[in-house]
Amino acid sequence: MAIDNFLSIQGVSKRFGGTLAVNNVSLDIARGEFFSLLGPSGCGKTTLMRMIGGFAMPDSGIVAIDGADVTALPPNARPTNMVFQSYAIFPHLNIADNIGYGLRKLKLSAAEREKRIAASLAMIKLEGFGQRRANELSGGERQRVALARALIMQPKVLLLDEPLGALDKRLREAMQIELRELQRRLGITFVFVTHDQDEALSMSDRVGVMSKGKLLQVDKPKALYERPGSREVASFIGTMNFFEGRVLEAAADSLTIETKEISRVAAKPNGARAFAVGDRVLVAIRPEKLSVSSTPASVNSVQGRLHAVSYLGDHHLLQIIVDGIREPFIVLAPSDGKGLDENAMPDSAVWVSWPADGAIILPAA
Amino acid sequence: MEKKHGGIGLMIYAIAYLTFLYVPVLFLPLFSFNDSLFVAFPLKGFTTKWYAQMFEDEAMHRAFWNTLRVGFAAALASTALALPAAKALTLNRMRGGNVLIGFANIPLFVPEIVLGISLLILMTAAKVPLSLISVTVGHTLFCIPFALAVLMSRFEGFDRSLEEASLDLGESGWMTFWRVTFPIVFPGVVASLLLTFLVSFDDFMVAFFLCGTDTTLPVFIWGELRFPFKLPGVLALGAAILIGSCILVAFAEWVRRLGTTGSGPASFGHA
Repeated sequence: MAIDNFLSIQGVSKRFGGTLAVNNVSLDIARGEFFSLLGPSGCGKTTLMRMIGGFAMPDSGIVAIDGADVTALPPNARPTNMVFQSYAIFPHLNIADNIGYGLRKLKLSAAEREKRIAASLAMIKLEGFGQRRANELSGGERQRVALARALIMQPKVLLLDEPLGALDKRLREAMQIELRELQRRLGITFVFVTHDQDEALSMSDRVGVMSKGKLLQVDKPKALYERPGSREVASFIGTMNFFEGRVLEAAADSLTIETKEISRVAAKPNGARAFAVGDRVLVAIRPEKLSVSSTPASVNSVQGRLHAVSYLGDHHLLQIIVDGIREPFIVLAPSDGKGLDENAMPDSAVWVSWPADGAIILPAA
Repeated sequence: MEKKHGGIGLMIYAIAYLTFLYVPVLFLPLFSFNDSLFVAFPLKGFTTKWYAQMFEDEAMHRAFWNTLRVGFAAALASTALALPAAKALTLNRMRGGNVLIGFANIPLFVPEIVLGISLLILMTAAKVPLSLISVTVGHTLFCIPFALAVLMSRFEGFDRSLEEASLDLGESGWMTFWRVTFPIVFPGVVASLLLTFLVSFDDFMVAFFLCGTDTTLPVFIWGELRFPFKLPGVLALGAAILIGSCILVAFAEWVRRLGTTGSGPASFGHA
């Protein structure tokens, strides 16, 4: 996908006191894209979004929307609108006046204003709620009012600051689907800030992973999961088993890695990254790529001790301790008994194995 | 068992405390209905003539009217001055805010007589004629800490993102203040107006030094005390002021609390 730079962030930094909250971030977001900024709290994702909305001024760098430099513009002069984490529904106004708050500037006729508010209420399925107050609404309803109040302004970019964080799990999942569907229908560019990786992966066209003020990786959800570019990204997105090694042989389509604890590991280079003999690398394997059996497999097998088994319905989550490796291997095994001996007891010896293309090879940090 | 004993002890303490606090004050209305020139037991009989006398006194009317005008002006001025300060000190977490709050509160701790004399010296030096205007200036000065305290308590817990949302929806800072901030803190503004009005209304010391010939009610009462036969009338006036003040304070407190529960935007948990 060719990325056009509808929303363009170039070399943006922001310092708060002694800490660099956002460290030289450059990012291009396409028109109509659902883009998520993902990272743990304090990683700078909210600060970056506030700089797009005009609530914070970057110390350096440029923010441009649809070809226009907006870096120095205040929020009320930008073609952006925001859904706040607290929703920020005005408590002294009813729902209709909340939604119509920004329309005053447009100098509409009373009838046109009413029409737009009614259409907006219909969009969020809250017809007839116009005269109510915010405190008469549930969390999910308030969230939709905040969304409608921002969307009625027809922004070029909609900013959403952890908008689903305060909702319970079931409602959150329903709202994820609703939001995604709404975004597709309206075609508005969404910038969605979240610390919830499932949310980011399931909703977004692309995800930017942030940590300590830096934008680590920008990719499609599938690519982010299957080809993380660094240990930080790999461990933040999903569960990952890691061990270190050194490249022993490097060919065009195969790598042999020597590790202290496991003899030789056969792997395939993934992505565009090239490794040379002698490079120190990190082998990363997803739990579902590992299989467990009572006999060694032909390739990439290591013996360990079964430490714990958790039943998860369609899967078993196994913890297997391999001598010399600090963290136990986490294995997700199907519950149909394939691979795992039904009678396997804790502390019994098992073999963990994975195919050559099952591991992700990362440069050791 | 122990808990119950503690409860009784506390109850006795509370009753003693309230008696000590209010019984002397209650003598005022009591003697204001007593049919005698002398404030002494035994009570002679019930009368409302002191109240009638009070309402007929021309000089009292003028003093009362003066007090009202000073009270309104001082309440408006001090609340208007304290409002942006309270917002800056709470919402915007202004640097050095605590030092500023300390300075703003100094009039509360300076003895009123010192405040009165220093204001008198200042007014004389500045050649401001002593009048209701000089009283209003003095009252505004020491009403500000009260206004600031009431307004700051109203601004606590004000969600800053409400103002940001208004800016985000295209409004200027000025219109955001009038469309969002002011309506939300309005009960605090009303409470501040009532309280500062009352503080000004009740003040004797500053008014005594600054009023010149335009006496306010407390200064008028002080003057009346020289004439023994006017004492019952003063008691009637005092009782009326006492009741009026109580009603106003209760109303101010009720207004200040209006809407601080339940209508907040963040009545659900979030970090």
